[in-house]
Amino acid sequence: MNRRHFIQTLGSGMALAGTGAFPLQALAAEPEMLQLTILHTNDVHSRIEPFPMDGSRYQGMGGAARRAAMIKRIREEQQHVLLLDAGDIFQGTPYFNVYGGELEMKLMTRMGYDAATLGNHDFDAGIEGLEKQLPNASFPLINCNYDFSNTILNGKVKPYQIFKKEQIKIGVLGVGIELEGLVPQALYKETRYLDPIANANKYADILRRDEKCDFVICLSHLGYQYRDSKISDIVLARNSRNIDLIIGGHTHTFLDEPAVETNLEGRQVLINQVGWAGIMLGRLDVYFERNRRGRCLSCQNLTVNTKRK
Amino acid sequence: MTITRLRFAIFLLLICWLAACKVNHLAQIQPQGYRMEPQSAALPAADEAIEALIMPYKTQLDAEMNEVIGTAAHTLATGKPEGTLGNWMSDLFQEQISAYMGKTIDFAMMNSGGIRIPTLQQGQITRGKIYELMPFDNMLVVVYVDASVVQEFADKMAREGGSPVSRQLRFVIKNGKALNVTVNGQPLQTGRMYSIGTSDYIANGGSDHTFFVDKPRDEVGVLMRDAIIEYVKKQTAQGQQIQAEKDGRVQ
Repeated sequence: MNRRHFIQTLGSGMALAGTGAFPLQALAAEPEMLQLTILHTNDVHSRIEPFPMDGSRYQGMGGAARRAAMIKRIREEQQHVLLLDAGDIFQGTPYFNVYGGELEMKLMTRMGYDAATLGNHDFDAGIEGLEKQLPNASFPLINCNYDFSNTILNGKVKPYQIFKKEQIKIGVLGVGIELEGLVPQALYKETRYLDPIANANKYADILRRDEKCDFVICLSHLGYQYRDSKISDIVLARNSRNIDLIIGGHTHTFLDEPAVETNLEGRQVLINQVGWAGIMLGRLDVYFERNRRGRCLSCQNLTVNTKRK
Repeated sequence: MTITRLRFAIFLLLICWLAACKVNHLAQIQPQGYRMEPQSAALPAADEAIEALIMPYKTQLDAEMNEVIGTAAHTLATGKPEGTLGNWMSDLFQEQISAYMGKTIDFAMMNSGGIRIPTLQQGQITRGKIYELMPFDNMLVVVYVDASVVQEFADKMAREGGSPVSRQLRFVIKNGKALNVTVNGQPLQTGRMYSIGTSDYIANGGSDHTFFVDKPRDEVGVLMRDAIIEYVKKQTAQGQQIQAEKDGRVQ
């Protein structure tokens, strides 16, 4: 597999870190830089507490209280933060069996999650069980390839959500995995699975062209990669348009750094996924240059280095 | 042509200047991640307000889940083509289902993804640990299939490099196929029906076990998780610890 990553060739990347909007000294006052900090989790699977200290592989790792503290610290340091989750919030500890996902949603609300997409296990208490927890979630659930019209979730899941951070518009859409064969139909009921690629492209186009978003994020629970031709984040990235970043889940993949794929327009798409169980909190700092010109001045600093892993 | 384009571009730029419109360019993305290590100086202390929110839920849960129901003599782990944890669970399902049904079933199986923690650590086993091992509310069922379906199932297992199955089923994986499939030491017999214990999830075709769909079946009426808990308690009552070995059932 060809894994590439961004390298900061100039010192600007370092200089930018830890600041909000500021003028880039060397280029006079005209272009401004704005930093957006994206924090993300996936497949937290009801891991409210850290893993028990029982000698197992992840002992002592994770835990909502520590993640919350880290998020709080980053919010103190950064002006513009987006906190996102790529699904499978539910299932994996007795907290879910006993309380049905109530505490998971309350904690995410308290941590200030901005949006989450749906994973297959989020249907484990049935579509009614999921609907029952919506009042505990102050953040939107986002998905554009499940048709909920004949279900209790009709009108309660949005295809996308737009966030504005100063003059930067960020569009977030969500896609989910095929439920048939993965989740008993008795649980997802009349939910219809639609083509994730066609729908991601449809809504990314709306976000880019109609809504004029500067940055488009796709929250995905498709899975990072498969041996067969099954639709994954890699497949989605290569067949996408207008998506800048895919925040993935489902396969519990720990990526050391984001993967970079080329989309149908020849542009780069980043894919990131941070394992599972809240063992990792992902962070991506996205820098935008604002100027009155048709081209970007500091974007030349962005180089892509090919490295095999 | 070029000049027209250039003029147009200048015109656009001019409009932009006059309207003071600025364009946002994606300049750079810098990745970073935080590993939530148990004692890391780089991480802040746990958020107390969040801990307070969790506490009442935890107190109630712990009262129920911290009950010690047995002891693992050694650490059991998942693995391919076979693992001690998968062997132990499949064997106990075969035993428990046979007891519940009052007749011996041929073998039991589950999907690799159905075991939700990679190890059952040596030492005390709590009720909560079994919930982590088997969080799903899956019910036990018995499906009845002929030899061709058993072969089909074994081939699927072979393609996946092995998945949990009880000791009665044995075969060798070669080139992604299951060779020399035996049940209780006997080669598969055409015309004989085989009883397979599994979950309703698998029997309904979950994880691509489509060949079990629409086959005759019996509902056992017991949750998989409850069967595990009962088995562990039974062992404890008999003074036994939990243990399992790899016996080459799938190789």
